[in-house]
Amino acid sequence: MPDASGLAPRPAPAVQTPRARDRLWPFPAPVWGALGLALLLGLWEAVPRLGLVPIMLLPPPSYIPAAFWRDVTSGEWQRAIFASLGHYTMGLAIGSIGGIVLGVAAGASARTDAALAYVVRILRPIPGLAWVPFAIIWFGVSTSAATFIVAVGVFWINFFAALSAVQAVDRDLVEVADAFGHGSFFGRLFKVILPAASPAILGGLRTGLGQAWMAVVAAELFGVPGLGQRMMQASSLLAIELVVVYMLTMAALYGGIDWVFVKLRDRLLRWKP
Amino acid sequence: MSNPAIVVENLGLAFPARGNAAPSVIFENFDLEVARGEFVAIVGRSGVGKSTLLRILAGLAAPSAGRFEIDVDASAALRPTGLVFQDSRLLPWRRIAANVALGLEGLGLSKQERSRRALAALERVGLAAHADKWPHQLSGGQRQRVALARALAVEPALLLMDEPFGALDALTRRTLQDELRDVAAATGKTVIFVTHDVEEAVYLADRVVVLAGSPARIAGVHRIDLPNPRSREAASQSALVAAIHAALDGVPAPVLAT
Repeated sequence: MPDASGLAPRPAPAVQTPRARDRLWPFPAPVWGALGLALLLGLWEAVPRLGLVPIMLLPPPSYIPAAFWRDVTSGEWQRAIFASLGHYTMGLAIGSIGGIVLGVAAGASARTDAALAYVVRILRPIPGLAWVPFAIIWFGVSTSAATFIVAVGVFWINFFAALSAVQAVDRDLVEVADAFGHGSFFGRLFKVILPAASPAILGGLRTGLGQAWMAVVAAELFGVPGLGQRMMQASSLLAIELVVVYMLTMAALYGGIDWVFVKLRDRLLRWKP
Repeated sequence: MSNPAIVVENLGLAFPARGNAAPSVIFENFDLEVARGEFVAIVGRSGVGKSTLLRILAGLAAPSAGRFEIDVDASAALRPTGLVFQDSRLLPWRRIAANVALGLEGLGLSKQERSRRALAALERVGLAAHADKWPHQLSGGQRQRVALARALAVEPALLLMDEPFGALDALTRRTLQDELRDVAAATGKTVIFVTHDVEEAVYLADRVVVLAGSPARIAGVHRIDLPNPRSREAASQSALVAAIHAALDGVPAPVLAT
């Protein structure tokens, strides 16, 4: 119980300054967070229950567990996740590797950069989703089409992250590679350029992880099986609570993947001060 | 001089006019012979071309005239030169031992051999206990010692040092100067040491070469006949310090090409 007088010394987490603690008084930050969430859920529950909005258009959150359970027991939920993760990982792998390889090549070689300049200028402004017609013509409404859309969606992020990361590598460190017998293109690349550029490249990769989910859903809204398609089905059946189930599923998947990625990144970059 | 570690003949560096930049001659007709095991300091004002000269000897830049030859065969050199920069330039993603081993990679040495040599080099600079740390965990002086170990690890025929203590505080600099003197004496390395600190040059070197003018030429060569080990006081009060300062002042300051 917090002391109402506010005078009794309270133990504070080491990272919080006394001032930050005072500004949050009387609760620690997670309690405030839970309060905010409870407020949102309460409001959401109340609005349709009070008849302010028809229940059909906005089902209260208490409807969600049942809808979730129905799709889990029928296996739809697992199937949708499996399909979407397939598009996601394949598209992400192809788009990220392609973007990083070309970005590094353009950053490390002036000739490649110059050769790509106009191509990039023409292709870069095209929104990723503008490739959907192409995807459908080339691949039909298929897994390949969804993978293609995801790959295009993350390609540029990784390309530009890698390009600017390589261009920003400290010339002095490249000179170290030269001075110690690694002055060849690949010597410089592997001894200095790639490790030095890795924090920014990993940053681009992480942005791509989020962008790829947008592309997955967009591609699947056109009918490729997965979370997006299941959402469209639920929406056309007016099962809005099911739509919410899949929205939350995506949030959870993205949150989980991002968490794992950050752990992995921090491990890889443990040399950073 | 019999069996010199390096012979430099007529070395020159000039940049032709390019765009708005006027043509510039950094230095010309530079001759130097350094005996094996000798410690030569090159002093000159900032911008006179000392560092450029060192970069040429390290193979990082090509001269526009003349030639130089490093006697690699006569020693057990793994690489012709080992270079120490003004800042340590350690690779932050490598642990200390791996930083020292950088120059040992690509030579066909086994992993064990590389790490044995890296540790031996770290031992020389008294940092073997820090082998598993990251560069950012070390102080500036320690990092500069690691940079020295990295250069020593390749058993260079020539140890090239580019104002290696210029960025350190005065106290650390004195410590590292003494350590360098000891390491150079213990290993018998041939050293070319660039500095703008005349007292430092006189304290450390067997011979001091003064670079001055634009284009830079050798404005004087002074053999330092102080006994070894030297006292810092004797070095700083030596008449040589005054003579070298005079040589530096005797010519107009170099005009920097823009």
